[in-house]
This record gives sequence, C-alpha cells and structure tokens, in this order.
Amino acid sequence: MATTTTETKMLTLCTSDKQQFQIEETIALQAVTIRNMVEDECASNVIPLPNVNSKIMIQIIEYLKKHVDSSVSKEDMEKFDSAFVEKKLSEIFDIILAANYLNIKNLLDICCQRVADVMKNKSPEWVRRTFNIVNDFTAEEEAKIRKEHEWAFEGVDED
Amino acid sequence: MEMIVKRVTLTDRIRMSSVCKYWRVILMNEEIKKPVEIPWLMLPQGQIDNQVSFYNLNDEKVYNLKFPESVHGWFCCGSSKGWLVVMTESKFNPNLCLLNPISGAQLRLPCLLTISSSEKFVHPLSQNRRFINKIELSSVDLGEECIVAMICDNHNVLAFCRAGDERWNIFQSNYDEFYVDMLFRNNVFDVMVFSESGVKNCTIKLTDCEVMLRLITFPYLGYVDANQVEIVEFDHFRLFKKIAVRQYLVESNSELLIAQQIMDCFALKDDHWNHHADNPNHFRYFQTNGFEVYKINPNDSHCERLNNLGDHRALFLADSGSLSFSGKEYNGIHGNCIYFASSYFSTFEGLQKTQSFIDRIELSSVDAAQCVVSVVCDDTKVLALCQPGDERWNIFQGYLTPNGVEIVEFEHFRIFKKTVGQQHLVESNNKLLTVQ
Repeated sequence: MATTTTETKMLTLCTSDKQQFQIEETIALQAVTIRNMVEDECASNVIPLPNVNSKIMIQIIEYLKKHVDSSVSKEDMEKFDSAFVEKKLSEIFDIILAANYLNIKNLLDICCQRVADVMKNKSPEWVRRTFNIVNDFTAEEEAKIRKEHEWAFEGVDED
Repeated sequence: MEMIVKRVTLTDRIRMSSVCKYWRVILMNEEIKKPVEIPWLMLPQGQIDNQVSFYNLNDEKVYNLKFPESVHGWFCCGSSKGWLVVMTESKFNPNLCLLNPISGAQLRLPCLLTISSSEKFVHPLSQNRRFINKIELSSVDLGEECIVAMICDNHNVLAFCRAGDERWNIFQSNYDEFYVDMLFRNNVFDVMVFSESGVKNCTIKLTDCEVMLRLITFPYLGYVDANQVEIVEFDHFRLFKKIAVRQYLVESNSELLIAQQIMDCFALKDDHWNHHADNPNHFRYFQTNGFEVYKINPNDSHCERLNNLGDHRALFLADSGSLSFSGKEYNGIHGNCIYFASSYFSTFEGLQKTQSFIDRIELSSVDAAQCVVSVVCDDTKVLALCQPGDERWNIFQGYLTPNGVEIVEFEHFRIFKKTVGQQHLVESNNKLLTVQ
C-alpha cells in the first residue's frame, strides 16, 4: 500500500486537481480520515482526496509537518499556529472545509477560532463587506433586531 | 458554520445575527452552545436608571442593558447562573423575580413576606436591599426541575422554592445556623455553616421533590478574637490587621475550595474591634490584605491549605457566586490569581445599620468660606471633596491605599491590584454576573 524509501514509509496523496504529494506516513496519519483509510486498507498506492485542491494541500502539509515534530516546544507550536492562521479569510474557509474532510481537529479548531476572532467587536456592516454577504433584511426588520439588544451594538470598532 | 458559531462570544453573536437572515437562524440557534465566558462585572446600579451595566474584562467594554418595563424601578440584589435577582422596594409586597438581562425573560419568585423575619428589613424600606445574602439556582434552565435556594436575614435563614411556588420553604435546623455561602454541585446544595464541626447531610421537602443539603463546617471560620487582633496605631487612626472576614465556596477542577478573604481595617483612634457601629461617628474602611485558600473534603470537612491554585487556575469570587476558570484560555486572565468583587460591607452587621448613603462628613475648618468638605459615602467606597461654591463633588481617587497597591481607574469603578506572596489580587467593589 505505501511505497518505501530507505526506512521511512511514504504515502502518496492525490488532490482534486490530480496533483500527487508524497509525504511520510507519520505526517499524513495525523489526518484521521487518512488514518482510517490506511487502517481499513482501502487505500491503494495513491490516496485520492477529491475534496482538497493542491493549493490547500500544500498548506495543510506545512501544518502537519510542524505538528508531527515532537521537539517543538508548546510555546513555539502556539506561535506557529497563530502565524499559520494569518491568511486571507477565503483561504481560511477552504482550509476549514479541507480540515473537516480530513478530520484534523486542532487545525479545524484554530481556523474556526480565527473566523470567530475576525468578527470580534465588528459591526454587521463590516462583516457583510468582509464576508461578501448581502443584507436581506428590510430596514424595519434590521432596526427591530438592533433595538432588541441595543447594548450589543454600542462601541463597536470603527470600520 | 456551527463549528465557528460555537466559538463566537455572546455579544458578537447577538450583533452578527443582524448580518442576514441565514446567519440569524444559525446564530440564534440555542442548541449551538456558546463558549464559556468569564463573568461580567456588574457596576453599581443607579437609583432610577432602569438599566444595569456590566463590564466585560474580555473586551474591556461596558454594556448598558435596559430593564424590561415590567421591572422598572426594581433593583438588583444578586445573581446566579446568568440570572439577576431583582426586587421591588414595595413595603407591602416586596416582590422578587429572576430576570435574564439579555433575553428579558422573567420568573416570579414567592413574596418575601412568606419569610417572617423579612418584616424587619421591609420597615424601614431602605433596609430591604440587605435582606438577601445569596441566591443559588440548581440549573440555568428555570424549568420545573430548577430549585432556587436563598440565604437571607443576616445569613440566619436558608429557604428554598421551585418555579411557581407560592411561598418559600424554610430549612429548619436544630441549631442556630449561620449560613455563610452555598454552592449547588452534583445534585446537592453544599452549604458552609458556622457551627459545630463536621458535616451534616439533610433534606428539605418541597411540593413534590426532596432537596439534598450538606451542611459543611469550615474549621477556620469565625470572627477573630478581639484580643488577638494586631493593632497598628497611627496619628489619626488605627489599623486592625489581618481579620478573616469573608469566606467563599468555589469549585475548581471538581474540588471544593474555600477562599477566605483577609482584610485590614482602618478605624478611628477610639475604635475597638469588638465595638459595634451604634456610634454615629463610627467609620471603618476595609481593605483586602490577602486570601487563604483551602481544599475541603465535603464528606468530613477536612481542610488542607493550598499554597497556590496551579498555573492555569483563576478564581472569580463574589457574594453572588464564585467560579473558577482556566487562565490560559482567556485573554488577560492570569493563572494562580484571585479576582474578586468585594461587597463586604453588605455582610457586616454593624454597617447594616447605616441607613443613608453618606457614611461620614468632615470639614477642614470651622470657617465655611475656607472650608474643604470631605464626604465618605456609598458604603465608604467613595471619598468626595468640595469647596464652597463648587457645582459638583470631586471624587478623590486612590485614597487610603498603602504602598504597593496599584490602582487601575475606570470610568465607573476602580480596581485595586496587589501582589501578596504568589497571588495577584484584583479588587473592585461590585458584583459579578456569570454569563450563561
């Protein structure tokens, strides 16, 4: 099932755009979905990942490589994580989808937290622009919602 | 989306629910749990504000939440599990209700007059704010299962009720108990008492259920022997040192802890510790010196003093209820720290007799034109100064604090920061609300 170079077991992952990635098995197995495939022996030489494109796969491999390294201190790992999520939101959303599919819990956690943090103390208008969302409330409906919890709308960050 | 929503704080969630209809459906879905947030600090409530203000340490903002019209003119006298306890100042019908300040939901509690000793608090009216010492709910959800427990009447009465009950059920003990604090955990109300040593398991019957209680004696509890109080004499006042005044029950990492607040008391030259406050000139100013934290075994009341809380634990202590948090998960919350909202004066028997807002007035000179008037007011929390002709009082900031105390001033309140041994103390003068 896996190819062997020297002593390290390698796995080949194939992304949606038919790119192949050869990575060490220990790195890839952090993704529970891949681990299950390998354990169930339903993976042949090449593991197809139709829900992940190569651009996102490169980033996920970067993340997995760091996290498999047990010599990295807890603090450095936290630093790496917080730097890792400093990406464009559209990329974060793609990583969330991929991390969900591949079942990489910590990666999913930090990316979801990043999205939650982006909304922190922001106005709904700012969020609509940033997330590209159309406001489908009427002016009356929106005013009513705001009135219900006026306090939550006070003192938000300047757009 | 759900995975993101469960990480969004309550305030952000409410605001984001106005982004679009789809978001509103998801964000308002109560099935998706909120992240656990550190409690909001409740700021002193104004007389006719009909609102209540909270300071959120997490985003360093003050929220002003309006009261629903049905409780306009009511005041807040406690909180438990996200609910405020609000009360009318009515002489004949002192009503009590639980109010969720965010949703506006309310639940009427039985009238206080069903507890006979409430009368002495209702007359005169200004006293009835002092009647309730603590309210503890058995659950956030105020359904039929929820039990409301209340310590009141100078910590002498322990009463229970359930939603819809007409009257309070008073727990009858064989002793004159002094109920210090209580905590609902593992289906039992753990109540700290001031009595014989040991632990007593008891029950009280409500309409169609039985409530389990465990009365736990804290062996190190008690007012300090007047002869043992260390007194430091100054020119114009004396200082009583390290008096154990207040104990809080709190659960941390599934263990029951008791945090004992140690205070220094500034008093007038002629004051004696065992004097009570019948003297109209009586002035005492209390300042927290430190805390002792004990782990208590709820089965045999065996206590073990702790030297630290652990790197990541922080305690939040308040009359309205205490909690512990993992410090590393919250911005600005430090591990091995005690955060406390101190309203010691409301539990001090002598000062309960202080009927007015003003505790003490001092004039600097007999000549009115030259005179500086200083007023200690609002339970000695505030020192205000003025000169003849002034339009307003000048609030003096940072008084009576010895060296080594850092004072952080906010618009509405101040926080005292102090390092005692390994503990950093943060003090303010208000209640805490647990956000649920």
